[in-house]
Amino acid sequence: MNAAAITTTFTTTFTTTLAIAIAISLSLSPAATAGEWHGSGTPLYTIAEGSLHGGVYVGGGHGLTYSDPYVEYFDLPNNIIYARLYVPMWNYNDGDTLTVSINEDELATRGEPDYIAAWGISCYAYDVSGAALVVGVNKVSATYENNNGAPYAIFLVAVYENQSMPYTQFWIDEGNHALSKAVADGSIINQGVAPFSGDVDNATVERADLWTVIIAGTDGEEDELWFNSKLIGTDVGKAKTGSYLDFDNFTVTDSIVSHNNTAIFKRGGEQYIHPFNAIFAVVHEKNVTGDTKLTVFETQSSRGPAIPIPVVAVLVISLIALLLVYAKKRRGRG
Amino acid sequence: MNHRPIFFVLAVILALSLSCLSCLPVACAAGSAGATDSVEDIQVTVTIPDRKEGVFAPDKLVAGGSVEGVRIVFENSGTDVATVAATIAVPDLLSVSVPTQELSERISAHDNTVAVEIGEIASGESVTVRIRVKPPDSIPMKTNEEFLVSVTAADGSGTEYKHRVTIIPPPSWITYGTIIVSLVLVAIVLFAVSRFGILEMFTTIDLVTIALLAALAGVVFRWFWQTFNDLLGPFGGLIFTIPVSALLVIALHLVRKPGTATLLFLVDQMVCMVIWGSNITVWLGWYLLEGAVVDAEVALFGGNYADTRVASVIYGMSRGFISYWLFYFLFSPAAWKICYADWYAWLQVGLAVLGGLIGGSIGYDAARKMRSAMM
Repeated sequence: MNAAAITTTFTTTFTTTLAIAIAISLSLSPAATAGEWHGSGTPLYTIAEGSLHGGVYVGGGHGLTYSDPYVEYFDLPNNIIYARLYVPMWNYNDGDTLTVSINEDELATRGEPDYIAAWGISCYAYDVSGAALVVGVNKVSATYENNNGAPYAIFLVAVYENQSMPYTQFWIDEGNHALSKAVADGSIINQGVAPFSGDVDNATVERADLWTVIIAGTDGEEDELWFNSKLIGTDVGKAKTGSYLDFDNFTVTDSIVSHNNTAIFKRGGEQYIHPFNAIFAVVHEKNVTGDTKLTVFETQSSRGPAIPIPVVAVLVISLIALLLVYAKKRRGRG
Repeated sequence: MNHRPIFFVLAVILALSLSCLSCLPVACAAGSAGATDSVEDIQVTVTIPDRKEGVFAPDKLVAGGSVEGVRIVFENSGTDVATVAATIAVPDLLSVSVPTQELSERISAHDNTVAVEIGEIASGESVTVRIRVKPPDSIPMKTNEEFLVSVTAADGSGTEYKHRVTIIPPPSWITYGTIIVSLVLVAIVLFAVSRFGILEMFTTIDLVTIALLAALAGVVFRWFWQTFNDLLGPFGGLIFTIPVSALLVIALHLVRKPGTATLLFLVDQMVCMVIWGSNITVWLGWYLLEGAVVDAEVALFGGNYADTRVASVIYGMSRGFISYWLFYFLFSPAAWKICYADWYAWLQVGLAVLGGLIGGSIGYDAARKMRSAMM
């Protein structure tokens, strides 16, 4: 066999081996990669507020596991008048889908999420007030088409009526605010605010609770959570509820004010952190009575620019540099 | 030209690759079930962590890590209905919680023992119990622990299933080591800069070239990779490793100064920190290592600044190997407390080396043309 034949054989073998390796890898491996840049996301805002004799159920979990389907169970009370389901998702890209089932009752498959920020950290929000929720244990599962992503969690907020319970005011805030040092969108973002607009009669408050959902907090990088002017937690975002997930409940009875309460997420030492939800409930003394009130607001969302300005700027500078080099070369020849 | 150093490096890469292959995991059964006549048809399967199977290392937890799910499946492989109960003894090192689930009302937990009144399991059916465990914040050394699942039938007969897990300590030595390496590297760089006037060796054009190439890597190609990697599925990483290797080779070939690669990746990381908010403060030495290795190779090859295709390819492959190996085997368990399955991690390292090979070759062609244009 001559040298040319050996070379041809070697090349063919190498190419075939490479093709087989690629085919095997394609069939086996999901890559740990991310989505495109979507900007700083949506600051938290109130999607629903109201008051009633009853309470607010907030539950969910359990971190990024890449399980498919992703399953979470909820033990729910009777007489739910309003329910909001959240599926925070890692790595959304155009074309990805999410299908949620509640007690095997499949909701319409969704494409684009409601909230998206940074490298594809997103959240699907559903009004499931009329869904197939039952008293007791409910199974919620999420299946998804997302090449390299998966749910961070499934969360459910349910407002339920019970005339034997104290009168309760509630605010449900949602969004996806990327608090980050990144300047790709123009400036760094050091804090985010969850507003709970309206009045609270402090004199009759028995108890006040705040629940928060945070994505992508890092243990040891100290963020701060404030309620009005009181610091209620440090390093709250530390992935303690599961991978990349923090779900917390704070008693804030001593920190409430009579008008426009506010939760403040401060990035502090975190490189980046994403507040997703803040739910505030104020339980009044037994002698306080009132009617059921519920106000649901329109969903707000925002998306970042398709191509961040720094990318365009570097590309333009590079092209200019390249043109200068070749102009020099042409001059040298000429 | 003396090619012995090049063949030496190729031999080292080959040896490392072969040793990696020999490290691929061998499937092993971590548990065993002894059975009696009454419960012999109940098969117990324990999955920990309860994550997507295949990608993550099974039966391995990292101390200091977050809450992990445990899935225990009781399957009746017999022909008759079986009525069973079970207790799950969780290792004391792990703290236990029981999430809401279908069997919630039949599950009770006391200390680290979870009792489940499973009830009837029809032939061919299975029942799943989910618990969550939190690894300890710290342990002195790698520890093997056992989950003990005891299954009891209605007639009182029983069987036990043991499932072994390994808890590895928080790789604090890696963390501290990395910080020390970071500081030492930075100190060496500062010393070299001041003592030998290294910065004076770089002309303004050199620094502009490095800054531009670093910006291309850290801003443009990082965005491009993050945006389009899904199109290539598992090969998405190539969208980043190929251009970065090409830019590395171009930088070496155009600048032609010792320390070019290290400086390129230093600027790259600084750009990423500013634009994307990347965390580089603690891990700077880690990121610089990929450049330092290439600079060492340039010195080893007697000042071959990607002047040959073979050298360019070696630089690209080395950079790919070092950066991905560090990521999957040191950064991931140290920073994220996650252990990837060995096959998956090595596949990614292999893809990075492949990207380095392609990028090095492309970079060599581009660099030669650019150099001839600039001469």
